[in-house]
Amino acid sequence: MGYVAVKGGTDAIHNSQELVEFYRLRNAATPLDVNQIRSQLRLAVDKVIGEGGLYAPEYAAIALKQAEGEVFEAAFILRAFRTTLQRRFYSETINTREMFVKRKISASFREIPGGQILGPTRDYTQRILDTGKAGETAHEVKSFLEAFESKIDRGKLQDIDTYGKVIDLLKQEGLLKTIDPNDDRTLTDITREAIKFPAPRSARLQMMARAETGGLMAMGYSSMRGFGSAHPTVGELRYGSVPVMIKDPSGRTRYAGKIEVTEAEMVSSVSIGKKNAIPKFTIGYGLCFGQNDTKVICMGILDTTMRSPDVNAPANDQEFVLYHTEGIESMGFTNHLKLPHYVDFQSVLGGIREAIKRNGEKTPEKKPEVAEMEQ
Amino acid sequence: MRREVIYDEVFDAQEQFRLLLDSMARPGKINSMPDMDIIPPAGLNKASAMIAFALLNTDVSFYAEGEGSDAIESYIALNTTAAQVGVGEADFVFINGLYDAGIIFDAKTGTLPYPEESATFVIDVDAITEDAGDSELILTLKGPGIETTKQVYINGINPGILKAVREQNMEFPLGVDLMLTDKNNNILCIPRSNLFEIEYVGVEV
Amino acid sequence: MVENKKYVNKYNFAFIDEATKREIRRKLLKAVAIPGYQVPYSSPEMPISRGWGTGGLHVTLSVIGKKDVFKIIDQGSDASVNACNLREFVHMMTDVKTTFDTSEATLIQTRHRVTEEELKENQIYIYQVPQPEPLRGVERYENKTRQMHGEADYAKMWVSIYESFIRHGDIMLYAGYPVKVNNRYIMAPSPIPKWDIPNLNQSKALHLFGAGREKRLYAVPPYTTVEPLEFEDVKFHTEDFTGLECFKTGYKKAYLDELYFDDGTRHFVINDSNFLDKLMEHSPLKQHSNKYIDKIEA
Repeated sequence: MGYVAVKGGTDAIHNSQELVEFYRLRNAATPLDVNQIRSQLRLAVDKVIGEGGLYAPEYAAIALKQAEGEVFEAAFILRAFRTTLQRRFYSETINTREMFVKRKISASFREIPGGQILGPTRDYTQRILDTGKAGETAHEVKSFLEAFESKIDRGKLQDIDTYGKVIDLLKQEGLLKTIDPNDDRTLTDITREAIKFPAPRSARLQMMARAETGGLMAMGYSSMRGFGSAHPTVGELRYGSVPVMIKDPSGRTRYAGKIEVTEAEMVSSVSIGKKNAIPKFTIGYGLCFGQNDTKVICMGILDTTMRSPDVNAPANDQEFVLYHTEGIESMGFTNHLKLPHYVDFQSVLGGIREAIKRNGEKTPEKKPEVAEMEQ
Repeated sequence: MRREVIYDEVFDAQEQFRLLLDSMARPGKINSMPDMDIIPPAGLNKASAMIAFALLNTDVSFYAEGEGSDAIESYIALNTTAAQVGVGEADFVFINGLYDAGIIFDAKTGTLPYPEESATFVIDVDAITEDAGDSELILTLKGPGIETTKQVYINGINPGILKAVREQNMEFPLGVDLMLTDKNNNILCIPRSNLFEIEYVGVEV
Repeated sequence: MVENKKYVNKYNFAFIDEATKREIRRKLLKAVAIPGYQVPYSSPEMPISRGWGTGGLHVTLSVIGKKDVFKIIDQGSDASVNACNLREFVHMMTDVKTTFDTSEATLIQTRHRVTEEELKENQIYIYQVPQPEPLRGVERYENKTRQMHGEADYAKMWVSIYESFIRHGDIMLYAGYPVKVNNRYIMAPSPIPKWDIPNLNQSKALHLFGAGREKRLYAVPPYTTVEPLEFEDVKFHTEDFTGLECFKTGYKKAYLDELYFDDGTRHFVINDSNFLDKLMEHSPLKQHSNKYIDKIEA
């Protein structure tokens, strides 16, 4: 009889690791191709690069494969991998006005510069289970792609330009609240130092950019639904690719490549000052890697709510929002409850037994006897 | 300016950090840094250079003052990529033991919520020994890391520096921490938690 | 070293990159200089889950060198699954010698226990810490607990302990009992049982604490005063195993685990696996000594 349940732990974990591989591969006729994951599970890959905090779609696809499709786990694997990479440069601020737009909508105005571009959105797909996908063949994929491409007017593609922003219209008219001079505008790097509270906006936005989408959504939704007072409008939501520039040691700016990002500018009205205050608009900002509307919208809401001095609403409370939407940390700690805790439990056990005894309450059964020495 | 290519940033840094950690945890214990084939500029002990190599990088800042400090600053900047800043901002301050004590009051001592945002002084002296010999100064240390009390003997330090440190560290947890090095690669650390007494027997500099 | 042709996959010695190691090292030095104070640090992700010992690993991997001998325990046991997993990881990344023998180790990483065997001057004892903030129970905001520590304003903590005594006739705090370090900072000793608390006081070894998820490092240097919070008339006490003994050795002076066998009988066994092994092998052994344990007869 094993007197400690976990004796022989090394063998147990090795067997378990092997079993994981077995479960991942059993019934697998052909191994999943990383490129298939990259292209056909694109949104899962986007979540992983966003929450993993590393723009590496191919590595994210590998992580997804390794994690049997579990996005939390894959994002975690990518973050752990990120730790092994040295930060060599900080990029220049990316300019989303230079975005090669693939999707661009505004809920605030009927027409916006460049027009409303739905792009690849699932918003208007009917969520009817398409059982036809079950038998999708390579031939069908090919003929769809051919038919799709034949409709494209190549000549027209050249005309696509970058577009001005909706917030510029509001700014020009003086409707936007000017930047709060009291707001801490320090640039920190949350991957190089622990966040400190009250956190500057740069740290808040960075934390949210790596936060878990579902966590942000719960917080953002709570504020709109009633536990807070967010009433935002999507000023503009963009998805597309932006160039990343880096300054080399000689001070020259160099082009490093493109990344795909989604950006939201959420407009809400606020009153400035106290009595007779003039109401103005304020912008809540959200940006993340890949395509993820939900995430940037909720970031935008929370960027606004966290600037509110009233912390009675959960979504207004920086420490509450930022600590608890960090998916990798919440997942790890939640799961650590599975680790043995018998030492601390024994400590509590003794204390509770004594407390019951002190209060003269009888324990339901007779006091367990200490077993005689056996073995 | 010399680039110390023989320094192994993985294993040399680890070994030297461990000596520093032991010294910081046991104030008054004299540890010896390995004798490496490096050639720091005049006015910088080899052990001080090793402290810089082991602990500094692009994430932190430093300042050096006194004779030859220009050469010392470029040497440290080149070999560690740490940023050169003014004394009031510096994470590490390199000075000679005979320098003016006033500089101690110019360095940052942290804030009550974040007392670690304070300077570490790396101070070059001539000799740090456990035996009295012909020493100029006796330091009696007391506090965390020391079972009762501990005595060490130092040559080549302006006692005013130590007095200034003691004054700065009275507002514990605010304060500065010291790393002393000598010509024989010995190191001695005095964390701000230490309560030390100075007895000066030498000639006033 | 794990290598792969297409993808760059060569890991640095001790996994963590040198810039981050330096950061952790600088902060450990500050932690030692300000005993019991929690130093914030970057706490990069490790290939181990948050809450499973990442802080302890950060410390271990930042201090470890080729000459070290590494021991790791979880709940007092060298054989616990998580300890096995972390031991393997550290070994894979550093190739250092690992051991179960407490006295042979130079670095000991632990979750929730201090060894029964006395620690020595050449040892560094590294704790995995889930919640570094001892005041979190009385103040939820980090911003405010920082201020409280800064000003040594611990009134809320004392009131809560006193209330616990008034309500329940005892201080209802168990594993992770708060301590005061060097008569200044109140510190969370990690969820070690109260049994272990006195062994932190004036210890010969250096104690380092890593809370990875909460991104904090702190330290208790050797020969430092560490006192459990208590009042003149309401005293701290350790777990009471009076009348109980280890079913394997008959030994009474160690922290015991409560076991239930298949037939429903209850047994107690020494928790510290290496201590138990050494007792059973009659190996030479020097146990920690403190005023609580010294009262118990072996």
